[in-house]
Amino acid sequence: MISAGLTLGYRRSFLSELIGMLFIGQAGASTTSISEDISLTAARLMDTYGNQILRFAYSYVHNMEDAEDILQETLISYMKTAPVFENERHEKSWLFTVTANHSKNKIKSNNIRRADELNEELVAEKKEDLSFIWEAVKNLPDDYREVIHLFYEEDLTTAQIAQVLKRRESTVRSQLKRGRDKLKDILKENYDFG
Amino acid sequence: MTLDNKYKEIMDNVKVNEDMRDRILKNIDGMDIKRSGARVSPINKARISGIIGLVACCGIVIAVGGILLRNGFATNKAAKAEENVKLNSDVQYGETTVAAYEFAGTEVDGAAGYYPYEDEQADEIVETVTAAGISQQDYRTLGPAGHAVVSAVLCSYEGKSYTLDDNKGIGILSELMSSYDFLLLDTPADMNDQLSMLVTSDGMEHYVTFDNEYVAVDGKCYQIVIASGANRDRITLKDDIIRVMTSSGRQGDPVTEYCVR
Repeated sequence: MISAGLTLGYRRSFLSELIGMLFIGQAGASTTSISEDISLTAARLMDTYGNQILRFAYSYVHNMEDAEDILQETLISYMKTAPVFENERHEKSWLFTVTANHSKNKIKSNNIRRADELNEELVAEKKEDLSFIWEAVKNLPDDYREVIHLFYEEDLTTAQIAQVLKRRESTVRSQLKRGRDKLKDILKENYDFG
Repeated sequence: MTLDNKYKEIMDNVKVNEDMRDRILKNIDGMDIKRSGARVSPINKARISGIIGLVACCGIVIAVGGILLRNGFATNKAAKAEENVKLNSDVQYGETTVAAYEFAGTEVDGAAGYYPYEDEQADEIVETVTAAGISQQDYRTLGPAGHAVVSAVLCSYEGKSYTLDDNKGIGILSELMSSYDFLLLDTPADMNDQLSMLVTSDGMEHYVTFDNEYVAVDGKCYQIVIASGANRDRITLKDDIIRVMTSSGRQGDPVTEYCVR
């Protein structure tokens, strides 16, 4: 049962977790190997959240190779900590938080690659308007850009963004407004920012 | 034309392809991933309180999140920083073995004292230690400046728990920590009448046990020393934390389900 719980992640209740730890000895005890649990869980996370994590990471590092590294690191963090969640939304929020932290660590390591495959692709496909927007977003301050990404790409509310980024909701609202203002200034009046 | 749609259209170009999927899953499959002994349960407190009383507590658990960090648990020791490495091992602490906590997903604030985690070495080397003695693993986990700390709970003191979860309270606790440095020990320490806290930071919960000589974070032990320049002549960390928690913390029933010994 524990192995199934680990695979299903958030469906596992805290109480069953506790009972498992108390009466089975440790959380990892089961008839199924931990490595098998990890493989199945990694595949589930990859298929459920892979694109979202990759895109959020890309919004920080602006290149695919580093974004892929961050995606992998985020999944590894999940495996190591084996968190228990109330629901899918909570799990997703946790993953975004960890992705943001890994991304910021990566940036601070000063070891970021320079290629921006996304922009190259947009240019190659002659999607100049999208390339223009992406360049504008890229040039936003980090604090604004991560809020913009979570708001426009993930459709999170400002309260949910605040939870992910560990900020006050009022701060998030302010950063969202300032980010939009900056984009309006750059993109002029061509877009509706609603 | 809305930015909403345009931004989504841009991001549609960033996706996990089959090669990337296979590569990452293969890498993870090939790793010897050790799960933390400390379970991370970002669950709501209501459920926790419902369970309290079902489990007998063997010790005192406290939750203090970023307290250890705010001031400099790992602050700017770069000038005197020197690296050494410590092999991965479970940490024997008191009568309980607690797996070393290996989570590395907490943002590091400031480059000083920060060393990138080397995945290539992950199987053998799990942490880098500065001369100041702060484990980079704990540094990452707890975060500097305490900004990521959400709450700190003194799990049980004289039959009550005390919770600090407001900025002011966390700030006071963090300020308290700023007059100490913490030297990582290779071996566990025998604490004298220790207290425990549960610290929530970045959605993670961390076990902190301490007395007036030692602190353990998720099983890793540190000796407490007075920070250079600190205006104090003796270590009173435990007493000070009790004073802050009992005077500023929100009183409740003792938290017992996270006891680690």
